[in-house]
Amino acid sequence: MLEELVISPGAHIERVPPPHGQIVAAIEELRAGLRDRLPALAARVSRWMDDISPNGQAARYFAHPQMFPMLQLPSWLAGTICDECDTAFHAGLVYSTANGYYYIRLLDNLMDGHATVERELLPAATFFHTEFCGVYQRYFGPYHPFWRLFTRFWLACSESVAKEAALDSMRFQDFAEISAGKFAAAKIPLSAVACRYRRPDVLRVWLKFCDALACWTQMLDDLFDWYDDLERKSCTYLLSEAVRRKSGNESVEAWMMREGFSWGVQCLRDQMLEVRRLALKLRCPALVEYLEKREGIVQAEVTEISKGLGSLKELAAVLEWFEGDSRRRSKYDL
Amino acid sequence: MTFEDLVHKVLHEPGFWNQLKSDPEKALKSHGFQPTPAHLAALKKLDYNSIQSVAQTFQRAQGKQIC
Repeated sequence: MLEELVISPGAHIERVPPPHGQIVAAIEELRAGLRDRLPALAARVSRWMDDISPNGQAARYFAHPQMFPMLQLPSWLAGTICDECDTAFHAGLVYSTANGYYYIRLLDNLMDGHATVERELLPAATFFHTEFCGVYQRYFGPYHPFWRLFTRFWLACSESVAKEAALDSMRFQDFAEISAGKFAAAKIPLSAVACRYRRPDVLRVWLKFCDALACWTQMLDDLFDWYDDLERKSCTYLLSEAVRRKSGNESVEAWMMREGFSWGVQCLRDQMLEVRRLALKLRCPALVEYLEKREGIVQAEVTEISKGLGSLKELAAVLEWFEGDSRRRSKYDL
Repeated sequence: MTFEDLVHKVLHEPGFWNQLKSDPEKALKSHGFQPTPAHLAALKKLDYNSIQSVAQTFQRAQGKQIC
């Protein structure tokens, strides 16, 4: 179906640009669009975009090495299939994807109880959705096969959020499907690139890679946020395993500290092997570099936490030894 | 004190950690224990900062920052 492609004429062609400049430009365009078309909410939405960024700057958020590379993936794919790319098209993809991200994030924060001002900003969802779709409407006609992919991946996102919310325990199969679905929106710009450059043949392996990276990213999220998830009674695969694996009277918290964190780290390592195996097939040095950087950051955090958990176990041993001595002394005294 | 109790204190009682770090004898006595010099020597060797940083890392949800 992907062979029936329509390419809009008059594209400006040059080598694939690095996405950072495009990200800054996209955020500025987005803010200007808000001021122009949604003035009543523009200032608050613009502030929210900065506030949800850990470093307080919306543009830098998307370029953060720990972020899922939703804005970079299309350029990386394009770099493997053509020497010269349509820069306006790629700038449009960055703009569209940023809008898609904010749309999902706005709803997601409301769904999972992380909302602060999101309820008041909800009307901005229409703006984000319109801008997200608008870019694709410029490049693909209404009957273009791209739209079937668009609908499939966009709805997969909603389906997995709803499916996750309905579960009270999760098996690995659920986890893999839900994780892939939650990040499925990132497949839309990838599909657009494959369609635009008439290379539908490359799409399958990129989508598979996306699924694997989504699983790894979700596991990382579950591992470092397990305490918050537990407090919020969120259903995650890691916490479901904690309930299945902990001993009878043991709490989930104690299992996580005793064994669960290491178990989760091993899961991450196994998943990264699959991510790397698929990445090799993509022949994209920038993507491999990104994975190495991310793994390095995660490894540093894991080392630090493992050191703390080791000290905690040593402390527990000293206190148990102390209690043993106390009991022996009491017995002796009696 | 069981591992379970300890984990509870790590996550929910930061005051206990500050006390244990600065004055282990006083911290344990306030929980009804009478530590011997051998216990105190063992306790002084531990890296409390790394234990505290575990608690802080887990208590600071960061998933939304990465995806």
